[in-house]
Amino acid sequence: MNLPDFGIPNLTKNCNEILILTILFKEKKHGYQLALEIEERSNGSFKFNHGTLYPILHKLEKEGLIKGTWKQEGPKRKRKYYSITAKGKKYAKKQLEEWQKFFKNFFNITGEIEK
Amino acid sequence: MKQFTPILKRINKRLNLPQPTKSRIILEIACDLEDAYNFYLEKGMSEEDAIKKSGEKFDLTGEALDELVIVHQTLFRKFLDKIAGQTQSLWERIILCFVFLIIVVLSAQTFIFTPFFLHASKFVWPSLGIFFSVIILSLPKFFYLYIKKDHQLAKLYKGLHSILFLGVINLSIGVFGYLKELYSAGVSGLFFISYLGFLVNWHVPGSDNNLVNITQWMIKSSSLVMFCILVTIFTSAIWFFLLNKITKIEQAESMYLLQ
Repeated sequence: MNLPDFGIPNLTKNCNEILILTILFKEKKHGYQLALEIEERSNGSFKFNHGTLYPILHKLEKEGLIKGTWKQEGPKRKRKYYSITAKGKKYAKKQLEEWQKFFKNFFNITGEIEK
Repeated sequence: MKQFTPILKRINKRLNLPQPTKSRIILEIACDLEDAYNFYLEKGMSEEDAIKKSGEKFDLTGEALDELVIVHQTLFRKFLDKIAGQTQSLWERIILCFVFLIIVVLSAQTFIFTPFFLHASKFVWPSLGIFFSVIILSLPKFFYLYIKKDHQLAKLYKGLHSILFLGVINLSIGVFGYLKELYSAGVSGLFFISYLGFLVNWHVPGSDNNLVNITQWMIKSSSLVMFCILVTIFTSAIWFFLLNKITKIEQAESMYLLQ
């Protein structure tokens, strides 16, 4: 399992990935629920176009980090719910460590402003 | 969901992916769009504003669409979707059914009216087992598709590719069995010497027995290969037919949303 490159160009992508995986730790959700919860829990800081959500979800599913299952909701309505896999949990924990390192380094530099 | 038809049509047009992947993505977006729409309505927006706002939220950018295409285009998936979508016209289906019917009639005649299985290699039995497994796996799907008419795609898709997998296993048994019989005949009767003798009409000591060995090998292996090929054709045809039907149901569901 390779961790993503933490270079500046990939930050947004990595950030979205870890946010999605974190939300799915608790319970399975569909795409819109995920986007909504991220927005609400971040007090609107992570507002992203829902359209960008699908490539991330499908990529995570393809990599086996999350699992998508279709559920019948009423006679003509079907929803795709996503749940995190064991591999996804392991990946999320490792990625979180990378984020912690990243922010530590970030504040090491920006902390000089306060001095 | 009809209010989102223009948005879904736009995505459908720009999403360069084969079916049924495309339909699945559109179905997923359509449900989320509806939820977003209801959310904005609950927030007190007018219907028109709610449609506009949810449409803006779910507008897939060119970059996002490209990423989706990259994620989904694996070589195997591309291959599967391509074959399933190929027999669309009536004449193609008629030819396919005709070929299938000829194979069934001719093979049934050989298997029932001749002592085929008595002469065949022992490897024909696992192949026969696969044949019955394919029937057992596909019968419930035919039942749900045509008798009960319960078109729950998850249920229909479950185990579908196992049918194709069994076909591949069956073909491998045929190839392995053929080589095993050839090896056995070679070991037990100095196959190559007698075969050469047989061809140039030499008399090699013990070649009479070897001739029997060769003949037995020919019967055993040819019947095995024949049976394995027929079971593989049957398995592939069943898989192909079911996949085509299920894919069409799935496409029809998403077309309903786009109309």
